[in-house]
Amino acid sequence: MAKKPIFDTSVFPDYAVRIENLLLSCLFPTLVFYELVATSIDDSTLQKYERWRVLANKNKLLINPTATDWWETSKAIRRLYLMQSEQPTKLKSLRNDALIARLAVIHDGFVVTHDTDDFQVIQKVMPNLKIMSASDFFEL
Amino acid sequence: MRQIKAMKKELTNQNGSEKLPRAKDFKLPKRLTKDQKELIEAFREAMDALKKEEAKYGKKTYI
Repeated sequence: MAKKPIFDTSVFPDYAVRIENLLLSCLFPTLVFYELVATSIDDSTLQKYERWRVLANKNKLLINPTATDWWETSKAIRRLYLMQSEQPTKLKSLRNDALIARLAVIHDGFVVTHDTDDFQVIQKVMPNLKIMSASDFFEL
Repeated sequence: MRQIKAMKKELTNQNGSEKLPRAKDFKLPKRLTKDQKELIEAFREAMDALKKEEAKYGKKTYI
């Protein structure tokens, strides 16, 4: 079976129509909903995210990090910290991406993102992580 | 252009020899359940709301 695409948050507004056509083949990390909700402004938008989240869960497409995922992700970030190749502020900003990456590895998916650089940093400590740029995935 | 090709090649190498699917490889089933139809509708409405917010307040920086 083909690996499932997992979209990083910033991909959604740019490729919403294209994503709709493969909506039942992708997985939605709760981290993406966290980022969308945390930056939403209007209450009506929040309500629409809520409905999408509930239905994604009902269709078994919502994926959430377990205690083990948090543990393994923190160990991966620790390896980057010990390598001293990135500033601690950078590592802090990678937390959500690292959890999305962990979910992609565990659920046999691959990350589709605009920020391939950030995920390549994570790939150094999660060698099974597969990444594709959004422009490659949608073949622009 | 050469630099972009080199970067793409590097990314391919980092993904190993595995060929990952593209958007065109996925399609919605011809027959959808009620829950699947509702999900597609909810997604469309959420994306419309997101785009309207971006038009109103500017491009978002996700936190």
